[in-house]
Amino acid sequence: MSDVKFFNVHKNFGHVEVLKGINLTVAKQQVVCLIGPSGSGKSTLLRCVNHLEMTTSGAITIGGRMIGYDVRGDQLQEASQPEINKRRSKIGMVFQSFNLFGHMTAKENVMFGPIKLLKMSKKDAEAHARELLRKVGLADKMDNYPSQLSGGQQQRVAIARALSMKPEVMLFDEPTSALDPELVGEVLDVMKQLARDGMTMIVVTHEMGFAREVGDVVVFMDNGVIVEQGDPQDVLTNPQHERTKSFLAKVI
Amino acid sequence: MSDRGLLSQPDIGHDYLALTTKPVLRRRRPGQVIAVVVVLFAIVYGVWTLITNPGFGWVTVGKYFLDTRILGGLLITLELTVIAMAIGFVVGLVVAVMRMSDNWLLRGVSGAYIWFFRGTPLLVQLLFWGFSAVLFPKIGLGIPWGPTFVEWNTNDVISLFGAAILGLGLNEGAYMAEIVRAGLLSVPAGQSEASRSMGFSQLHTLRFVVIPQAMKVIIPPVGNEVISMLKTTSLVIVIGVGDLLYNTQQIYAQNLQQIPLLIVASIWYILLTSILTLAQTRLEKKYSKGNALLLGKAQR
Repeated sequence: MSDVKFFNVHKNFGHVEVLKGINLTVAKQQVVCLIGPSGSGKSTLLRCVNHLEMTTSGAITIGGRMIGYDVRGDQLQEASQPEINKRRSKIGMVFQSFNLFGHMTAKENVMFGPIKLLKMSKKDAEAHARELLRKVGLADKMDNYPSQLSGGQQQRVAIARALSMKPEVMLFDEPTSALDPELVGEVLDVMKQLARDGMTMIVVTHEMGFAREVGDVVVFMDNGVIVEQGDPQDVLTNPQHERTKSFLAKVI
Repeated sequence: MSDRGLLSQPDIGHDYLALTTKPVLRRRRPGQVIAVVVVLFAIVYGVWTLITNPGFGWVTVGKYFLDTRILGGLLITLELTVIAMAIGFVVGLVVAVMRMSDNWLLRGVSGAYIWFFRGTPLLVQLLFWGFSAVLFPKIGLGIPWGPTFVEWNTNDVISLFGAAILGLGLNEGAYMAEIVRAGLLSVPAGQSEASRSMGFSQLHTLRFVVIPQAMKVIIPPVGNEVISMLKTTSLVIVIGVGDLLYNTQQIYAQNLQQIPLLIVASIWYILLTSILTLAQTRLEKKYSKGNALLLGKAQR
């Protein structure tokens, strides 16, 4: 597992400044929950970690190494595409809308990365996929296509797929926001297990219960800045800032 | 409000329970009966004409159906179709990907390509390639404005067949580009994002994730294009390539049996179209993997 460090990260979309200097450290095996109103920049921050979004300035390191950039003289330059791909494969990502590959079965989704990128043999990849799918409680759904699975099942396959690349960090972008309420629990359970296993996790979420129970740190973002961060119990029950208070008053 | 008045008038005097013993009859459709009679009459008359009109020359049709010139022309038609479609698909894929590029020049060039090849008649393009030797008498490998290493006479390198292939294939590429683009756009952006986040390159993502899923949108219109191309190849007659129609024409120019020979050609075209339609159906099934409608959501 690796730690993740953010150094003064800025991100502009055109003239709009979405991230205004984010400094944050996620220690090894820590679970950090990013909360905040929509448009606060938390998803963008997450997407900067694996370079799905390019930062405007600042740096993010995973285990001491940048994903999308190299140092060139006294500034940063975007790394070459193959290099980014290689480094990116160490970071698992789970999306709000699952994004399972629709033309592959659950098992094939989980085998795809290891076979093509880790050059695992088909037999090993299949054994690995079976084990991962069993871990997320889907041993009986291996040969189903995503369209045959419920949202909660799809998201669990998506987690297994991310794990198949043996990541050092897992990023979750509102993993339960697209789910029917009764399916949220099964996904959170898998994530809790992952946290117990010692995975470094950054989770953008609206599930305050999860943040409280599993999070080591809760980070409240608003308008592109980190307003407040700390122990979940403190931040969620005794927020210090007005903006945190008014946000929590609305969601809890 | 008048409808309400109508409904509020009770049907009196019926014993509804007694009417429940027999099933409900369908409404009478006199118009449909008339239509069936008229259509049946037209069919019978049509068949009768086909049999009795000596102008169709069915004996001649039979005699020439497997004529070596016809079969030779058929082979050329098939070759033209297959090669032109292959070129069209590759060109279309490249142009479609360029059209979706971040780079304005690539987007512009591909746009101009589509604009030009869709904007001029295929017949003109075919003639143009047929006469290309006038424009470029020699073709060579070398550095523009610099030395030339090898050189050939255009007419030696680009045969009439080659000109036909170029004309049909490049034209098809423009149409195919739009079909492929629509297919690529039909795959949600999240699919590429998931693939990229795992560390797959853009090319791998396109090949293993996007294109397989775009196929189910691409195949039906491509099937149409293949079927259309099979018949469009007959345009190469203008530059004198010996395809099915050209050879047919050659034969009836000698024996003056125009109608029977055109029937021979038509039967072959329709036969091949039928085979292609079958193949298309098969292919569509193959690429609908994971399609919720076919799998049935009931298994959830």
